[in-house]
Amino acid sequence: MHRELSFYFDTVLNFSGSVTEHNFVLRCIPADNPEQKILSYTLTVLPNVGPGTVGKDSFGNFIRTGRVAEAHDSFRYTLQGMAYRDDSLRVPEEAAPFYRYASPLTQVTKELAEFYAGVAGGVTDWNDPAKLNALDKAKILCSRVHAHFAYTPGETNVLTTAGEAFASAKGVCQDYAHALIALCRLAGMPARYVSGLFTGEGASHAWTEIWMDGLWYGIDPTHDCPADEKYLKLCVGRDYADCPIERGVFSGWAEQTQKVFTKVTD
Amino acid sequence: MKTLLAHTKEINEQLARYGVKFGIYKDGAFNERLFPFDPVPRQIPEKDYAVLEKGLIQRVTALNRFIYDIYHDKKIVKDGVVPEEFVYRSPGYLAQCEGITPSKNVYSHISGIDLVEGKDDEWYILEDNLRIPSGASYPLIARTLCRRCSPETFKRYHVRDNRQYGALLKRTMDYVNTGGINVIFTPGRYNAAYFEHSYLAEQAGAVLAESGDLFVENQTLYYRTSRDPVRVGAVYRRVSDEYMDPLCFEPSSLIGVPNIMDAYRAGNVAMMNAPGNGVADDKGIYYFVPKMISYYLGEEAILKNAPTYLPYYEEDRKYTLDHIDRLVIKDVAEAGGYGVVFGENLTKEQREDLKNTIKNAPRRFIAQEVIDFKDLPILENGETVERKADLRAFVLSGEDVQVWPSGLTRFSRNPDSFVVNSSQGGGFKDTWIVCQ
Repeated sequence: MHRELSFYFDTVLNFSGSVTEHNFVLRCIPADNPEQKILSYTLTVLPNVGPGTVGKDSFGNFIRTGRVAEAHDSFRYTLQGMAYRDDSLRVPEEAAPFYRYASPLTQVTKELAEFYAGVAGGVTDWNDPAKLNALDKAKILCSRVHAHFAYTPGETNVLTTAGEAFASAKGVCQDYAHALIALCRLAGMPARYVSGLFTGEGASHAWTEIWMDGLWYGIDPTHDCPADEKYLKLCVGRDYADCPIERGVFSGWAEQTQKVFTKVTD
Repeated sequence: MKTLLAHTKEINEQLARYGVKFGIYKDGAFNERLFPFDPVPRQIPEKDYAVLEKGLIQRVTALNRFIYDIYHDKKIVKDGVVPEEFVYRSPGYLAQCEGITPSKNVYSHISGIDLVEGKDDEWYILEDNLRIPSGASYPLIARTLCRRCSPETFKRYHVRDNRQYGALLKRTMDYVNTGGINVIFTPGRYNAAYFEHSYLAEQAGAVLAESGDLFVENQTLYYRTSRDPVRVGAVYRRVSDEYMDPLCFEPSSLIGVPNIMDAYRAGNVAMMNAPGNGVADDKGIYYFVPKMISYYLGEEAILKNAPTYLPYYEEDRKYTLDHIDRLVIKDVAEAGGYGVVFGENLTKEQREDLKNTIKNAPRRFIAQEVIDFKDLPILENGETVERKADLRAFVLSGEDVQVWPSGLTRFSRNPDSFVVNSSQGGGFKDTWIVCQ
């Protein structure tokens, strides 16, 4: 069902001391495609680094890079705009072949392989595409991943691999998405990581997309549901490391704290 | 020649003074070692060299086409010439480089192609090094010192001059330069090849820079000076891909330049060699190079590969397992002479272990016939002894593809060893192209 989403995404990084030579890359400008038309957006970066240039990375994401040379003790980027979402407007596309192969954060471990074998062995017609297509399988795997994990903030971080999180059965949306990606690729389907926003207020979110017959389908293992028109996609990659919404390096000895606020309404 | 050989000690002392060393990390500690120079040159007659030259140009031309294809249309994969998983499971393939077109479409500006001459007088390609092949500086400076110590030798022998390497490198950089200065970018003093970085910068008239010397602003690369920053148009980087940009690759890298990949992608700077090249010098991909030559150029490969088997293919796997005792097995993910095992040196038990490993992960290995390559004479304590040696030829791709008429000849100091890598204790020789 189509929706018009109004989005607001504000992130403040506070440094305990001043930092210089801060280089950053932002992937917060939402994907713009037939099923998610960006009607308008503004992106503000503070300290002000000028309008800059928006380019695209190898995964097709918008990227805004920049540099703050002078001393500063906070960094803030604010995105707001409107998007029109309608998944019935998707147009067929090829999946890049690298989405079928394990990436650094989604390597298959023994636990993941055994889990996959358990699911595949326990579902009748798993290997009969006439009865179970890729999306059906992905949904089954999604439910299993959802049931396997206990949502536990603070146990994992951005470097945690699918295998590590899966073994501990604790994690957040990123870990759920990574585990599901690894399993879907084991099942032979192209799968990718999505960073984005979700209707309501809170923080940014992550989920999984799988590709079948020319179309990408979003599935959210954290909530065990399809990622439908209530979801706003910012960027994609083989795993989190390809598409962090914000990444930066700077000079200076400072602790960094982050405050994120997102609000998406329709 | 005698006068040249009489100067062995002197030349080695000079090399040591110039700091012709290579560093290695062993057990976590950095050590610098002299790279022992043997004054007896490898001599290649001009007419043999002409064949090598043609073959190397052909090979590097095809490799460049391959890398372009892999990061764009992937025709060679779609046409089934190279199996997809050899590309996408290769650690040298970088998805972050998809769709990027480097300046003038050149990917492998400086290629180091390793060859050996068999006892059958045939040259065989051992491997292609397309990431950051090092070693050109060694014969370059050695030649200069030899000429100084024994000028008469070079009057008697008609040896093609090799001292134009710096000029050749400069031309290669100028060709792809997008506007600005040429920079050689080094990880720093504690890198194995630091001598080479500084020497080549001097020879090519480029600025030697380290991480803190460069920055990116508005998708443009700059070199810091005491006054205004200067734009960089070409960077010959001697830092490996994964450490080149902490905002694109390994986030913890301190030796890269943040957002340099963004400047490169925007076409505002040439990076040499281009990131992502490693997909073409993977030991698994090596097998397919002759096929690439016929696929892209419609030609037969002039230079042969060492006879190679891919356990990935059932027939080759069977052959490998049946003949493991006489083959050399290479782990495709390793480099620098590591991960190379000679079947004949293994105990029965080790052999069975290796066989099982190959059965479980066939794509990880290639197997090759051990080429009985020609020994070269070297001087050891005043006596001539015979040792195994290879040749690294340097091929530079700019407006045209050119072979440097010299090369790095490395030899094993261990009489029983075929492994000549400097990191494994070998020495080097000058390589003469001799006109008759």
